Amino acid sequence: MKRRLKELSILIVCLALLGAVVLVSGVVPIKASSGHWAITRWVLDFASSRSVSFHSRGIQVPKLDQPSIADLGAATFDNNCRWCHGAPGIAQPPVAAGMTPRPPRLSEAVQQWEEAELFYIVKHGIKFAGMPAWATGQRDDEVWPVVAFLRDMPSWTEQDYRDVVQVDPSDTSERAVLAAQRCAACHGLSGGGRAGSRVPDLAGQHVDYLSAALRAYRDGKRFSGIMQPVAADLDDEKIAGLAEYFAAQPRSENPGSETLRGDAGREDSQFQVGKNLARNGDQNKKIPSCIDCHALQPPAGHQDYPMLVGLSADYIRRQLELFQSRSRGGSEHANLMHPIADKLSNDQIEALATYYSQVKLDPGDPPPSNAPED
Amino acid sequence: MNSFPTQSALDPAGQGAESIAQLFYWMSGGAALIWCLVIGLAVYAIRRPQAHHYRLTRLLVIGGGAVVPTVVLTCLLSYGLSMMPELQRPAPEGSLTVHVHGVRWWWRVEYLGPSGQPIATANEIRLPVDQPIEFKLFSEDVIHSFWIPSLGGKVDMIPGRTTRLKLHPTRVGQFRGVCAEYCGGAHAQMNFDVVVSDAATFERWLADQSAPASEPETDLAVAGKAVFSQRGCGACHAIRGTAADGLVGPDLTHLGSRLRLGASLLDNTRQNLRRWITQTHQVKPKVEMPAFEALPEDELTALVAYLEQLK
Repeated sequence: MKRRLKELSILIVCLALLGAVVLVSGVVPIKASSGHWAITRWVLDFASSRSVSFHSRGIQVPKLDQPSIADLGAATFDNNCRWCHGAPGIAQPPVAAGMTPRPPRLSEAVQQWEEAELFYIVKHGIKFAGMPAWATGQRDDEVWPVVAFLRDMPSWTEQDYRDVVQVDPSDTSERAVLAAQRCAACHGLSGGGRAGSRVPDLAGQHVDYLSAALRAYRDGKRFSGIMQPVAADLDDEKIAGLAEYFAAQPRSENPGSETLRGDAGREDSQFQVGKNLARNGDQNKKIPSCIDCHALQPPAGHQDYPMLVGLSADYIRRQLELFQSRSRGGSEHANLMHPIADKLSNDQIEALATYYSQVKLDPGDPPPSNAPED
Repeated sequence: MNSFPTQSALDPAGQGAESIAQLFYWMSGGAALIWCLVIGLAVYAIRRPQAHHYRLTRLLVIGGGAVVPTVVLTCLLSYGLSMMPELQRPAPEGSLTVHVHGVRWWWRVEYLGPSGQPIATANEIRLPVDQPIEFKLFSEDVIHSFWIPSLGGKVDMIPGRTTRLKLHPTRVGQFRGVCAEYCGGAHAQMNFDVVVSDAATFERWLADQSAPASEPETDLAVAGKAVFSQRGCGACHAIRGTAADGLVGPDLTHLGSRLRLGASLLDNTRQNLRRWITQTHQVKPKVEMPAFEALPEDELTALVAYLEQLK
């Protein structure tokens, strides 16, 4: 017995020495050009598939049936993923084809994954495979549109894809071309948005606010895996140009007929609750009124603060929730919103989102007095 | 940096505080006397060589241990209770009434004007000397306690209830009031200034306070008014006579006339006002007001110029 143990020890030491020699000598090729052995590839694929399956347990899949959600995903994909994976009808770039492991052609590959697993992979990336993690860990909400796109990808044709991600500029000015390249797939050429309610309407927004938002994205102070890569290489001049371009677009009006004059009769309680809160705040909960900063009608309100009238309820709700969880970040003025968002209940957030997304001012209306009414 | 006025129950300047101080002195004197007596007896008992007389010791134990404390405590209780009716009695009908709301971590103060309209101010209470004043006390969040040690006793402010207190200042001067019930993060910085003056001075002050804010005259102050409005200050603060009507924070209609800033935290100077606006949370941690750290220099200068002239 004792002799066996001794022999075993000698064997282990010899193997360790051999391992060390192999490791230190550098004799094993790290080159990607030769690919993996079939057995290595099988083991790695199996292991990563098991790992993704194990770690994606418990991820709640939200409803992914919002209009245009896959368009937003496609535009995000086009900006970040196409360089390695290609796209519907668009071949994988040759540089990516030289990677080991080779990035999969997703139209086929996505079919083996559940939605939660796709979310896990897109959010966290995959080690040693060249698949990067999402640019920020704070914005799970942004990952889902990409999942929605990947799920639908097998049915997309090249034309479908190009229709979504390519927008021709309205004119040949430098900023219009830049806006078409960088922004228009999601925000539209006019800023009014073409990728669903998650995307804010930029048309007619305050120019200072737009500049500050882009700078915050660029500098990593406002968190977004969609916008940070878009803004990463914009210099101040380009940012100013884009901000001026979108600020100059005519602001689209809220649909519906509820004008300030006419909305008194609206019995829609959520709208009324939102209206009261936006104008008067809630003294008991120490919530200030909204309209003192987010005026219903330009030019009131500071250029640094965004106009909310005309933004989608979806976008307003999400921003308030992101403020609550400190996942939004923002310009140097964003801290003003944190204590306010913390005090808002879910119902109040819903009411405010309803109000700001629906209220409509007639040009002739006097600016609203924020004195209590009724 | 800042010099604060007196905040001592032993330096009374009002009827309530005088009674309380008197009670305190009597109790302290009596306690000192009894202490000396007991210690003296103990020393005597140890030092005396021969046995103590049995009847005398029994008399001392029963007399000194039961009878004397009963008599002393009864006297003290009667003396203390006899003060209660006067301390508790509401100020006569028609006396000046002041409403004070405790809010984390500041004081909302409301006087009633001649025609019954409320006159709002904050963190500063001015009173006329030699007349009773009725306080109605409220809380807007948690339990606070309203205490001006130099003028009288303290009374809790309880959410959902109205409590009351009468004060009757007897000499002019500046005093300091405090929150005397722990109410959260900035409790220790929830103070207020009290100014007792002669009736005429007080009336003049109240008339000034009841007026709406003066219109800014210098260009800088006019610009500051626009900053105040555009930066949304009016969402929390009211300035009567302007569109600013926020009720979440203190009324600023006559901010320039106040002695101190931030609930009696900083002297009301230009430099401190700038600090308060931009470094709010360094000055007063936990305060509800967000810090306007990113306010550009020109806007800050204008804003401070506007606020300063709100006399």
